[in-house]
Amino acid sequence: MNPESQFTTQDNTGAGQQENPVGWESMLHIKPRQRFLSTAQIQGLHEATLSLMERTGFKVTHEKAKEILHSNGASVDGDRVRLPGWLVEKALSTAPSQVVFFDRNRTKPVVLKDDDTWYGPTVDAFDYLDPDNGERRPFTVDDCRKTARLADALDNFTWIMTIGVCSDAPSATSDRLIAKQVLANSTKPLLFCCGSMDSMRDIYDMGVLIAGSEERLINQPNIIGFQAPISPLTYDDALIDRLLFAAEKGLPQVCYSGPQAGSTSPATLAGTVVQGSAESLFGIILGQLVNPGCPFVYGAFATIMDMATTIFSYGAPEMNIMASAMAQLAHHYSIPFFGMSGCSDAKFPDSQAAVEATFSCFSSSMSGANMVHDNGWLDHSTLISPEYMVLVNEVIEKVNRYMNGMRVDEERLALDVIDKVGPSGHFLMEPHTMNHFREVWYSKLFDRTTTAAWRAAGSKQFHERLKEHTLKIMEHEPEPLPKETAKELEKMAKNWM
Amino acid sequence: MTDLSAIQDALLTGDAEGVKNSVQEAVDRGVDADTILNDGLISGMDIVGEKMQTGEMFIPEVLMAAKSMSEAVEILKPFLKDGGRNRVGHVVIGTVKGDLHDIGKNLVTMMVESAGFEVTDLGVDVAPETFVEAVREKNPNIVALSALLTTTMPMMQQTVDALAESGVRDQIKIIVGGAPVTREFADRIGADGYAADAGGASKLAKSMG
Repeated sequence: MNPESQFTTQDNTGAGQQENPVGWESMLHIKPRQRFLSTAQIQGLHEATLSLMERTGFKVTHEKAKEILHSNGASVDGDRVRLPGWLVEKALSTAPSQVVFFDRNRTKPVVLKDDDTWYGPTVDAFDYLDPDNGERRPFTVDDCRKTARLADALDNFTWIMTIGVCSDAPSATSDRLIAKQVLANSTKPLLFCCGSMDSMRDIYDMGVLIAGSEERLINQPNIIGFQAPISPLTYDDALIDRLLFAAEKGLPQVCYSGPQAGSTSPATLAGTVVQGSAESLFGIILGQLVNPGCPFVYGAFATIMDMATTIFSYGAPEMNIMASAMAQLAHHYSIPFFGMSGCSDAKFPDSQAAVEATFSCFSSSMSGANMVHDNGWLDHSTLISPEYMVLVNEVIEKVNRYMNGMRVDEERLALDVIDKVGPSGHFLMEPHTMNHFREVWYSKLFDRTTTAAWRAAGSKQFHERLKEHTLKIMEHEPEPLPKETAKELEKMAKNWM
Repeated sequence: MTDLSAIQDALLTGDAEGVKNSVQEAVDRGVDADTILNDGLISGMDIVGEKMQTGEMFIPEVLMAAKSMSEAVEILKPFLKDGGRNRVGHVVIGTVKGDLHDIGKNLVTMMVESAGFEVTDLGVDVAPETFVEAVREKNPNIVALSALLTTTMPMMQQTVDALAESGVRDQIKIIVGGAPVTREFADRIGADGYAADAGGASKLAKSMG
């Protein structure tokens, strides 16, 4: 469980905890967890992945990368690079099993490890669904400011992304502009995407400026890189430049392709998992060869192509099957997993969107995905909706409460109080009730009132309450950057033009 | 103006000892007992009621506050003008015949008590004639009927009818509640009031007291 986002219960200080050693206590605290694959299935997928990497290999045109791979034992034939199994296993053995990054103040670490799940928003939405008037329009630099502030306010978004693509900024520098917006409007750690090496360096420099020194940025990073190889099996030069830069610096990065079953990967789920896994591992291996121990997050956005419409589905159950399988492979490799949830093919934060978000958030937590993005994304990755971000934040909170499971110990078995109350009594006035009733989760959004109270409060349907709640949260004022830092950032931005 | 905020503070945290001590102190200082009751305890419980409505306090906390209040009232009783009888009103309550469910009825009892009412709880599976006898004996101003089952709702009608036939109907108000009960149903059977939950029942009783 993610300690930042989970619903805090009195359990944390509850009776019995002090008397029990940690191991005993954790045995008594039952938490749900899904085992999606059998050991034999994991082995089968792993062996197939090794076979693909050795037999088919990857297209690489980056000369330096080819040299590095070749000198470490890969076969290089023109632009085709094939990796022997022993090289894969050797290189993966140095990838860290924990990846840690921080907020701007270096007080709230995000620790990607084991089954802990940390949720965050998304990146590169084209359009913005305005909660004020319900209109859909192109995403702007100012929308980036608004959504960054919103994500800053939402407790269950423990890290942040740049959320949209700005329609009102020059395309060559917009990736830096929105990264600057987010760094200025949220203290949460930023997972950033960028195009050119110039962008990569500029965003890295912003990170150094905010951290105060390069050493502090690397020791306690508040920015994380993101590399997306092209399916099937293609690593372009710009990506390799960025990947090598981050790897050499020791900056954490996510290596995440997007195989689409039936078009850019096989139509079968197992084949798509194997291909997506190989695509992510290849980047991690390259990073380990230049700087053993540099931090990576593994994964792939494996979903299906909808053969009726050609869209890349963000609500398909097959997406969750493949993510669950890959999360388990990540545990097998002892590398944190990058997942997706809280996203939908629906056009509004409506019932379909709520169902798809609930399904994917639940599945992500149950499978132990570590860093889970795309929360709040609609219309198969084209539309960001503040209201949907708020709705998904609530879904995550509910899922987190579920994942926190229940304790089974003497105090909680409560036989003494049951005996005291006896048949036909009630528990409302018992001190035991006072001590424990607050362990129950209460939603700020989901309605449990009586019909009479609901009518008295204006008979508001869910979407009306969601809108009101969203607009209220959007008034949040984030902690500003120190004045000097903000001034320096503006100076930097002038040099990008 | 007498400062009774210590009583209210203790009441809001469900601190029974604190409430009793503050009430005793006020009595020792010579503050009028009816003032302590009305401006300290009952107005304190009004704040509790508001906090429950805004979600700041939960039922178990409200009940702890109510319990603290009842204990403190015992200290005040000898000093109250009417000896603490019929302070705000008197409610006779019960789950109607054929229905054994009592948690809703108990909640209403505790909430109504906390509003300062004297309550006679007849329990569950209460026959119409038992309600009639209780009205004759106890002389309440409110009779509260509870039912959880749709199959026992008709018994509410029979109870209202029995109270009318026995000639005591005019001296009481009848209020009804329970999960399947609606305002429309309450009107149809000739009840005087309906509330959707225990907090509402307490408010309703006060409006009739």
